[in-house]
Amino acid sequence: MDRISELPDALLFEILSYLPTREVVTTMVLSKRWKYLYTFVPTLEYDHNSYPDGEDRSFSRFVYSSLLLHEAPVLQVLSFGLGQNTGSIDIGVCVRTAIKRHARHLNIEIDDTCSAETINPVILPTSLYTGCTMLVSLGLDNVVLMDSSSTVSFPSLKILGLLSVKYPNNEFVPKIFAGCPVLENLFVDRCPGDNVNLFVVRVPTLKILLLQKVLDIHADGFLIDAPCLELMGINVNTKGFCGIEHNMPKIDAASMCVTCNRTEQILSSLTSLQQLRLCLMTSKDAYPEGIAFNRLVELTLCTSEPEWLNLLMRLLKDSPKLRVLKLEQVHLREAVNPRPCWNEPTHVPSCLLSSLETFQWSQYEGREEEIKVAKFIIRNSACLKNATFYPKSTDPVEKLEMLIELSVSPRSSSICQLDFGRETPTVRDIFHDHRLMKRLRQTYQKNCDKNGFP
Amino acid sequence: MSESNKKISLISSEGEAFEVSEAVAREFEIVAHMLEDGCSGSSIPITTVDSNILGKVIEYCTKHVEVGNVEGNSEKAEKDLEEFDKRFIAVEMNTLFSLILAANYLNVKGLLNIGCQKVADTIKDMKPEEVRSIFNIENDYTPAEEEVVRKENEWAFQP
Repeated sequence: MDRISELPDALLFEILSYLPTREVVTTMVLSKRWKYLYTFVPTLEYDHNSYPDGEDRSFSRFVYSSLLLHEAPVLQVLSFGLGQNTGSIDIGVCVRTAIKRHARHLNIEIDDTCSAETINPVILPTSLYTGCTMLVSLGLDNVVLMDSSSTVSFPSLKILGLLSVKYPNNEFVPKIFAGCPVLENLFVDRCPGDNVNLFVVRVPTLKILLLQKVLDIHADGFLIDAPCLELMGINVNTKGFCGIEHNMPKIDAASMCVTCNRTEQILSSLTSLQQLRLCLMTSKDAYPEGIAFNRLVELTLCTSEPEWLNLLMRLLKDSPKLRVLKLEQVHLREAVNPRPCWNEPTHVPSCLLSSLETFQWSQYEGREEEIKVAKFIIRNSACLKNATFYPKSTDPVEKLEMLIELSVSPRSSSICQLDFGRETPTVRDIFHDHRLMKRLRQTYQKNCDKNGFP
Repeated sequence: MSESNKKISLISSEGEAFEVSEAVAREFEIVAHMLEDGCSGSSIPITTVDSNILGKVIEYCTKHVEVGNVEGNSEKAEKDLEEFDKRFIAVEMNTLFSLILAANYLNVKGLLNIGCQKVADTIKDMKPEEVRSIFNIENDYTPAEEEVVRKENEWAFQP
């Protein structure tokens, strides 16, 4: 029995929306029932990668023909994955289609390495800024935005991804965000030469922000003003200004890998955090005296830089509810760095006495100061259930020595189990388990993501 | 853990009663709406779904409610659920379509999604001839008609 053809059209559209458009259109020959079904599927996904190299003409013929024949008045998803020789597809037509078909999710992705000088930059038409009133998510990858005298308006936009986007100037970035009154999730991956010195994220409705800029030689910085933020991930390496303008009372988890001149002000805005992953390359005076992280439950700290030990002891002192402590090495330690100096604190931090349950140390090297701090934590943590060390060394003799050294250390908790892990756990973002992020990933994956946002 | 211990009976097309907790019944959006509209009856007829399929849909919802209740929702729980979904939806075609229709009628979004995804995965990378034979689709085009469709839509069948 042919059960599939008996399904109502709406369910067939739903099924076909999981397939790339190239496969959807061929269903027209299955039988007469299927002849025009494909023209109503509310998803159009074009990917030049599914065509062999040099078949740009077949690709553009396919795109234009199917666009022309498409009947669905509203498009749930419209996605273009274009190649370097995008000359064959007019980006204006893509954007115009999104506007005319009231697209909910639009994704424009240009396959290209992010470089200061792209040979054929894809310049988006300014009609994009005002025409997409129904747009819920917008993903742009490797395109150029032009300035426009008119205002920018995305009244329904909740998810925005700006990956390797070039902007007309500094002022344009806040102009985009000002046109997104309900924006909740923002992903920014900046590239060199994007014409922005100070990246200003001023979005009162924002819940999730991921800001990345790995490669840079310029002194560019960022300024965040998002008082409703719940999740924040920042991976920025800059000599420029870094700042958070308002306190974030709803912030739940943050992952910060930041190199900049002053971090005091950033950390002072994050006192409501429950989960924090921190890798500061300049953590001397990381945050001002008198700040407390009263809700912090899980802390992951990078041990790559010389001041980490100091920062760890301060965070332990200022985080009275800490239950999980993880130490990891994100960056390679520079051999020339001065070694941190261990000073036994006069008071045992209260989280050790009353809350710390899990202690995990990756890339444990067994250096003098590491042994001292490890012993201090094991000796003083009254509720510790598990302490796990993952030695960096692969030498079995050396590993055994480390184990013996630690296992003879006195323990305050009678139930504390000391383990040596075999393999270093992979460094994982704390967002990995996060509820909000998971929900977002689901929506995003189904709708337009192919590259995979973090 | 559960918000309510109230039990609700869902009655299949054969008249068989399935007793479930309110939380599970609420996974059926159609039932959730009835409850919100003040339908206080403790037994709800699901006339278009037979016992076999209704049992399966309840199994799916029960698992998802259980996992949703676990605090912290660890990575392991998420993986388990993914595995469960994968196994759950690996059924023969006939059952798969019955599940999709039931999920659509009862408005169980998660189940509808994995059902449609499963059908799409089956179609993916298959030639039209293969799709026809997998789903028993009768080709009512004459060879000449089919040739015309292909010819007129050459753009769609380029290599």
